[in-house]
Amino acid sequence: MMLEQDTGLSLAIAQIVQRLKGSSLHSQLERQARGSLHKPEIKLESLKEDIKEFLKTSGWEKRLQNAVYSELNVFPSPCHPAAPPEHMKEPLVYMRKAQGSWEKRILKSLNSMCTELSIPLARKRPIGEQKELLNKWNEMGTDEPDLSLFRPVYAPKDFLEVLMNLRNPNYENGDQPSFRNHLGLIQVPLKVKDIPELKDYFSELGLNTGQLGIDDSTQVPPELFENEHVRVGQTVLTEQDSAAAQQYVRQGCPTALRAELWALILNISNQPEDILYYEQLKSNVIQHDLLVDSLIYKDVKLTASNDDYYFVFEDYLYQVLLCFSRDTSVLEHFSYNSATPPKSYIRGKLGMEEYAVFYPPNGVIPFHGFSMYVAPLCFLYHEPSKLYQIFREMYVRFFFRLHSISSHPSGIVSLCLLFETLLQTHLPQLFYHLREIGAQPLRISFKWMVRAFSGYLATDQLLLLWDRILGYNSLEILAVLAAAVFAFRAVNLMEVTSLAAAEAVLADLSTLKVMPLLQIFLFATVT
Amino acid sequence: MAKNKNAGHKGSYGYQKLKEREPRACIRFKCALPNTILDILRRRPGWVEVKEEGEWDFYWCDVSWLRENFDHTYMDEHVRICHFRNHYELTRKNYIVKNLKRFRKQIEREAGKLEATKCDFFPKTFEMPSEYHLFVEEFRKNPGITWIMKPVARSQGRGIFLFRKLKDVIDWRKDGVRTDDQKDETQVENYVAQCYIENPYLIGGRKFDLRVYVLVMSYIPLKAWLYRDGFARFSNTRFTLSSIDDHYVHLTNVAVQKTAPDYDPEKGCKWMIQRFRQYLTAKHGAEVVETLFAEMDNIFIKSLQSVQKVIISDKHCFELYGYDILIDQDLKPEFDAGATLTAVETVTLSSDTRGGSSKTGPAGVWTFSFSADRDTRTNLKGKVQREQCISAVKSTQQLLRVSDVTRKQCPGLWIYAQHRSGGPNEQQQALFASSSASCVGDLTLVCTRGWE
Repeated sequence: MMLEQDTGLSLAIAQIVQRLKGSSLHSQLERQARGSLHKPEIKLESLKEDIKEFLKTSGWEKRLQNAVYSELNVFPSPCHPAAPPEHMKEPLVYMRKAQGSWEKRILKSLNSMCTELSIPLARKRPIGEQKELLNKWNEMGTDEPDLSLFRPVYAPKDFLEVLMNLRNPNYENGDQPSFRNHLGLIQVPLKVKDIPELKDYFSELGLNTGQLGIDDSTQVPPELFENEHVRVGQTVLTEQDSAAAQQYVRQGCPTALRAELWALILNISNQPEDILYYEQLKSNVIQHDLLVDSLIYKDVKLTASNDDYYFVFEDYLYQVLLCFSRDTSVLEHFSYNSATPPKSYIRGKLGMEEYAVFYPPNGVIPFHGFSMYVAPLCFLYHEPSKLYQIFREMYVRFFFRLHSISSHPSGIVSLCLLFETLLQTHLPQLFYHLREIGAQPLRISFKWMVRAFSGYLATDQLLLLWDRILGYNSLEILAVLAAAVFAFRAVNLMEVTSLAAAEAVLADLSTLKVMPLLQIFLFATVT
Repeated sequence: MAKNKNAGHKGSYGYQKLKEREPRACIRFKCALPNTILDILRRRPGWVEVKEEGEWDFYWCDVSWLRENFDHTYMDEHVRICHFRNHYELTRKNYIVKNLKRFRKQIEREAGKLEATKCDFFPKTFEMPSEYHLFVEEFRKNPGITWIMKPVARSQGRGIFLFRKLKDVIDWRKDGVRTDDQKDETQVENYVAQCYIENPYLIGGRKFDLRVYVLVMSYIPLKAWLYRDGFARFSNTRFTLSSIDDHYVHLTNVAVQKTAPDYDPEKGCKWMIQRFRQYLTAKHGAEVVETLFAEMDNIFIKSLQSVQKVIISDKHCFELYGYDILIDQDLKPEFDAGATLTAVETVTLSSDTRGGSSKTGPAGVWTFSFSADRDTRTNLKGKVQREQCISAVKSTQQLLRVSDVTRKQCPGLWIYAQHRSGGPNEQQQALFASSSASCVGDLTLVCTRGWE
């Protein structure tokens, strides 16, 4: 037992060291260590200890700590030294297969659009066009290209259909399909938490702990919670401790500190080389035009530009998303994402591996609503390169799980199952009623979860929700909130008699306050 | 976000003022303007609309009525009317500037220079043509800055232009009466020339201004209420100083934005002030934002104080002002000449839908506008009744198509009215405009509450 833990730990350490080697942090640490040799306190006899001490006092050890913490958060722990790489992506075979066939469908759709419109997947821009784009870089929203022939590659509801048809071929529980075990849309046996486990997991959201989103309302005197919480937040920022920040934001971020706290948790520091990297991506955008660019344009115009609050940030969205498509460093996340980036071949060299490239370069094909992942971040970050990095990190940590098929507890399949189970267990009458009138609850809540509620909640509420996603490093809270919303509107929902009417009751979430809803659902409902 | 602006204050207030002698179960109101305000009044429980010549307890009148009738009308003690007799002291651009300048001098005399700087929230303004020479002097002192010329009595961005060279002003003066002036009016129209803020605070590359509502219940003593949720109105295009002829960039009145070629009526171009405040806090921190809002409060207070002694006080009068505030790069607010609510650009009753491009909305979501040109109103009164209803269209597509065609045929200001009714898939839109060719300048328009 001890032996296994040890090997597991040393394996993890080895992998983290491997990943951090060659990173810019590594070279900076080396440079700092070398530079410190001139200092008087570094003595030859105790060289190693002195340098370690120096790194500690100058804050570099903390940075290393933050980097390690970040790696631990992002990469799953290695299961077994002999496990093949696919297992890190997704351990269950049937899930991998389902993801594979879904990807094939998406690619087919993309290719057929390409052929229909006879637009190349990628082309080099002529110099005149490059100049024009460069001039217009900060106001791409003023462009009105003809996008009427483009359609989004898929919409969330198409994805839901695929998830509904997921079946585990090894699972045969012998039961006849009856209303007792086939109530919901998701029919795979994944382990999801129940309310006692959720109460434990989300213990900081309990009734006796102060929260931003509840205890900072105008009726509550700030001395009771808010002032102290802000003070602690400022201390965390001064200490520059990622782990502490992650713990802190579970109770919510003060508006003024949120941008820095999130950057600390995501370990984004906007170094000169990061800015340079962003500029490089920008020049890639200028030089080459990709078909996915038009999909991005269309998505922004259809969703974010029409939103009451995000329309202002239209230009930033293009600047982030166009660069994102060309960022090959995003390919790294496919080692733990069940998805695989689509491959494309240089014209005329179909099937020849030497001429294969990933398309788009970052391997992520945008779908309808994709730009809404970026829009709320525009409230916090105004420098394009920093905004870009924050978004990229949020994507490779969280958002990718919302549109790929996997068994991960934060994956969309688990979230859907968690939502349905919570509703069935705690509001069985409501669930049954909705099912009877043809309004399966998941059909309504799916789009909320896929978008992490962006565009559905008011921005300040959304940011409070995303505070908790970062704080718990998990997306499960999305399913809990979805169930809490249904619980909140249960009385009205019991009276409706059609899917359309149910949708109308749940059409407008902009007035909801997320933290009270979550607290009541988790901690104040009689189970 | 579903707050009705006026109801909260006037409701409780009106109820208290019934006479003892004649206990009446309702409040009789009259409203001259067919817009949001009329709707809200109609919906108040216990408030009853009176017809043409009936007696009323509450009158939301227009200024021409006030001008003609106020002095001859007897009003019982409990009666309320929505304007002060000489409200123009605060609402006409030249008068407010005059009052503010005078007030500033007074403060300087009484409390010293430092205190007087608290009144420096309005840009250097000169009345034209009376202060033309003073203006030229100031102009010469600061070569190269941009100035804005605004007609005193018009609203919604009409007649405004920007200039940098004195030559432009001289040419304009020579042109004499401009084409949009009243043919009937013999007096020369007054303008003010103001310093134009060249470094406005931008959000998403766009210029915006803030509209804040202040309700004044009385001037002596001064009692005013500040509505917590105004809005920030965005320009639809990105800000640049290189195109000062481009109205659409610089003028943020929703009315002007609506005529911009790429205006999308679905877009709205507005943020509620709470949201704007959160954005600024996230960007600059809470203290800076507190200072900004405190300075804005200072603007409201000082401007009201400056006209306190001038306004003819009358216990029957109250007034709702809409202040326009501009913010510069350093987060300093500047006052942009308030206007009363008889010339409202857009009043949104409640929030629009969330969730992307969904066209369904909660019951009773409204967005509509109304415009009234005060000076031409008397002349247009007869024509207003004979409004030509161009068409009633049932979808956005048609709406846009119709507007293109008719826009060419019928010049003037176009307003879009939209009503989303209760059901999730119903949406009705109507496009109205009046197109009497004999009306000069911009036209009146009606807002509709949907289909009767």
